[in-house]
Amino acid sequence: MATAVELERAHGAGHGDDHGHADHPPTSTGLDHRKLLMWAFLASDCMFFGSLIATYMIYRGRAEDLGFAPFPSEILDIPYTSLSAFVLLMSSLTMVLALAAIQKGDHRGLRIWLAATALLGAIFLGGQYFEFTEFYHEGLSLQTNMFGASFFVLTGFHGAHVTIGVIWLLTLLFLSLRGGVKQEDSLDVELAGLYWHFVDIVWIVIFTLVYLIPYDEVTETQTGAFTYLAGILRGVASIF
Amino acid sequence: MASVAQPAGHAGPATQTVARPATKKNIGFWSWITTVDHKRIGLLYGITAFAYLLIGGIEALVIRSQLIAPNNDLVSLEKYNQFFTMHGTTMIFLAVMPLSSAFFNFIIPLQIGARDVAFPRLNAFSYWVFFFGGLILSLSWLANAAPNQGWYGYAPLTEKGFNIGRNVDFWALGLQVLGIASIAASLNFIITILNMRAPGMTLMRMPLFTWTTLITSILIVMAFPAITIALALLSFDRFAGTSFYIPYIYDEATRQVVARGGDPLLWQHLFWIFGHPEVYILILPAFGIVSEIIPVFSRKPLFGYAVMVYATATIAFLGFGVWVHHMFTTGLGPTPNAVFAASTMLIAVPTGVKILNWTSTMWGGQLNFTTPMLFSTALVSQFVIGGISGVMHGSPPIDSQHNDSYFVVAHFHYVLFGGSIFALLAGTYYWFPKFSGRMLDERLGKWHFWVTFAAFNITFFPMHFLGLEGMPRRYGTYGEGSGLQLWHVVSSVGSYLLGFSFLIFMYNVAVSLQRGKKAGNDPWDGATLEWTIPSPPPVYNFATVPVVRHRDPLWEEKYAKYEGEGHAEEETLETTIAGIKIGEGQVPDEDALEQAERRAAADDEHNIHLPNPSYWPLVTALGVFLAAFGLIFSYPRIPIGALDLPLYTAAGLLVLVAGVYGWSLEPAS
Amino acid sequence: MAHQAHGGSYVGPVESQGPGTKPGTDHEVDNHEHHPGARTYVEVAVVLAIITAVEVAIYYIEALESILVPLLIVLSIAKFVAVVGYFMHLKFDDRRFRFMFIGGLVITFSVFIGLLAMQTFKEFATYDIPIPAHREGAEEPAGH
Repeated sequence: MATAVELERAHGAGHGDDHGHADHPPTSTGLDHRKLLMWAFLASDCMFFGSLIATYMIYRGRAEDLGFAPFPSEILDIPYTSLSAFVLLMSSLTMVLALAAIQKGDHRGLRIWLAATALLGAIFLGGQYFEFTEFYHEGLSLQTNMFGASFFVLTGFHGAHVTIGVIWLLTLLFLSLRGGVKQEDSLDVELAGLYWHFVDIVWIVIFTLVYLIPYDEVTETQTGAFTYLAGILRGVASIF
Repeated sequence: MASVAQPAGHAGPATQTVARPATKKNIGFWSWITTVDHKRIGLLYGITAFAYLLIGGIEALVIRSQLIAPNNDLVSLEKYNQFFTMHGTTMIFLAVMPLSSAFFNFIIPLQIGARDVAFPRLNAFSYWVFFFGGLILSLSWLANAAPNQGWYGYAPLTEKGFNIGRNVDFWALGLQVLGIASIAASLNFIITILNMRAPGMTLMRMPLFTWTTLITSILIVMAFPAITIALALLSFDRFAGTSFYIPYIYDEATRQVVARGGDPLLWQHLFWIFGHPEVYILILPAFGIVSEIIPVFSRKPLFGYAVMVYATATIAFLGFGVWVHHMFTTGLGPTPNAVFAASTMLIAVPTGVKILNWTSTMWGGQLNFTTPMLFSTALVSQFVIGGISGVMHGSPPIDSQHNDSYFVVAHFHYVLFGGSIFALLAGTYYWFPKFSGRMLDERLGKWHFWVTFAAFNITFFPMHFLGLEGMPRRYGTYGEGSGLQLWHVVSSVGSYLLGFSFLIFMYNVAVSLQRGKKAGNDPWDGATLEWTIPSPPPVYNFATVPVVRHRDPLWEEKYAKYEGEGHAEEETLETTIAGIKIGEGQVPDEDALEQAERRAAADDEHNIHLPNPSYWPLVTALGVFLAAFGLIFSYPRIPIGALDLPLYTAAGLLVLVAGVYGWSLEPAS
Repeated sequence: MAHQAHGGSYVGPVESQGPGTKPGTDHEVDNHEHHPGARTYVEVAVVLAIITAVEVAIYYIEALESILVPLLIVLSIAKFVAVVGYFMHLKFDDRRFRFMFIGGLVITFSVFIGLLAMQTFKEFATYDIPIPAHREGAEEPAGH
């Protein structure tokens, strides 16, 4: 695998514009500006969601400790969220199919799959809206307890990312219908795709950490693991 | 050394072949508003940031005047809080960072042989967002609600319960907006440096300033999201009634303290996860500038270039693993303290390597103490003082003694003023000819340097004593018999002198812009690509894209001994400068030559390809500004569906969306 | 080859390559196609769906309670890797993209694992959370 990529890369280095846009001056790395920008942005966004998820993890269990109901174990609806996690996961598939379509010059396929992706994204958002209102009616708001605050902020920021993604996809769809997305513009679709898949993998993490892993389990595991870690670090530190 | 032959014939095979692009001479107001030219954006950054530097300086003078006498009441203690908070915030976010940005913008494309940055409109957007972020912070003075909680805004001081006014709102949203600017600019520079280097300029042939810019940008991109979230959570606490940083509240109704479950320490963690890389964001560009200047005025290539690059990268990487040393006194316990003390000590090593390399560069060189060189050597010596007091703080027991005392204030002014500002001044003297086409006056420059140097030490050295004698940081006053007054007076007098030194500098700039000596392409006998082109550079920078064969491309071009016609026939090209061999220029590899050819072909085809000016970056930035502004002045409000949005925020979001669409649908060139 | 106009070149898995080493993705490594096509994507998606189903299923199986957390973490990492590797093409794309993204992940993980460690395992509680009486057998705040 590695060798194949390297061969191809060695061959392709500095030949970034051999196919496609001939009017773009070649880049030093042979990689496209915008794609590099997107990856750098996603690396940065890791830190963004890392901070949010860490905040959630730190406050996990605070509501139970203080006795401020509702607790996550009472309120989280695993089957329901599993379904919306599945929807988002499948939207990643339709997204990558949209990209594969435009790369082959299949405009109709692009439109169908883009529309499907945007639709699945919208279903996810609708599900989130329903979930939020349901929780609110059950007495969980931003102000209720630390679970409410960190849960709504984390999933809310994720939802905002999904919303931007849906708008982006709809824009691409609109442009495509107007004939604005050509086969050589497949990068436009690819960039939206990278963003979209990133939003999806963030949800993979959130789904596991927030929904599936119960509080009591995690405190034990977490404390156990970190006690062990602290021992190692203390040993290392004693060298200094 | 300015007299050394100009590389006249060396504009290369370039000058004849390519037709000069038709460039309209745009000088009007609107041309600056819509500009996407990196040089103009650099100047805008520089001018705005210098204005903020002066404002921050005036705030500092107020602080020093307040402390010149015990029990002084020049300003009220509430106002004093605002002054020190705004001094710190202004200097860090509105002066030093954007001044570095000014150099990034102006110099980086020139150093790597590019015509502009990778995303010219994103660059303009970064500037305008920075401008509006600064505006939000400055507006706080007009609203008589300047931030008053200290530049690192520890919770729960920032919470509604302690800070009911809008002070913190201005701060939180101002920094939020500035963060967008920094991240956008840094992404742009990462791509620019990786992707737009001249053919033949491998990573290890990049000038060191380019390297530090790259690494600083990576730091910004990875560090700012942490503070973005920290500030977002703070905003939720303030606007939406959450309690991320509030452990308890006092319930008026039941007259009881009620637990809320928040943790103020989380703020400190998130803030310093950003804050410590931020320290390197402030100092690494300075290191880069100095690494450019010292070799030129020692007439030796930089000693240990590769090690210098690795040291910079190591500092950046370790910079993410030391944040807890700002929190040694919060009681995290012996394990975190020991681990982070060790990592803090470790990070001193690559920093020390840099000091060694600069001194070794000067060792045996033909030193020429022009003003930029004076400032650079001053950085090396003063940064050592600040660095060593920093290592002292790396030890938790010592830190417990120094924490929140004037000793810490002395420490970070030695690294920030003695480090960053000295380097930025050095850079200004060094590159001013490139900015303006004229030299800054050397006689005034030397006066400026010596006054600054003396005043800096008079101002900040006594703070070490003040701290050890027990003067706490951020106190607006001290008692009559405390024995602290002597050093406070010395420090205040020094600060006035420091203020005066900036008057010399401004006078120098004003005079030199009118009557300064014409600079020509290469007044300092420089080693890097920016000196191959006219000063100030034409809009398109390079008539032909240069091909780089050497780490010091211009020295190689000027001093390599060539035989025969072209360069490429020689296997190795020995280059000596001042009798010292600086290595062998390599024959450019085929890839580089081919790339150069293809770029030249692109030039031929399209003339030189320049981005069009655009309003959209400004419109988009305006949307960001309005959205943030609406959160501070949250009335009037309009209901949209389930949301009850402040009017300005709603309007701002609309403008933002319009801006983004206008931008992405507008052809880039 | 008209796709991928910009640098990042797709190279599919080649013959000599062994089965993928990533957990959960072993069997959809495509050994006879040059680059991933619609079929591979669908296969990956099926695997992702199965993993999700397994995740939800083991959540309800009481016998697995003791190893639930590590199991869930491994499964979600498998999903993460599959999406990043196949849908985002990182497995086939230029390795510099990989460096970039993995670099970001590594910094994020190390920083926040450190933060979580310090917050979970406090040797000295910085403040005491009052423990309500109704929680029987409640321990003191973590760390004592």
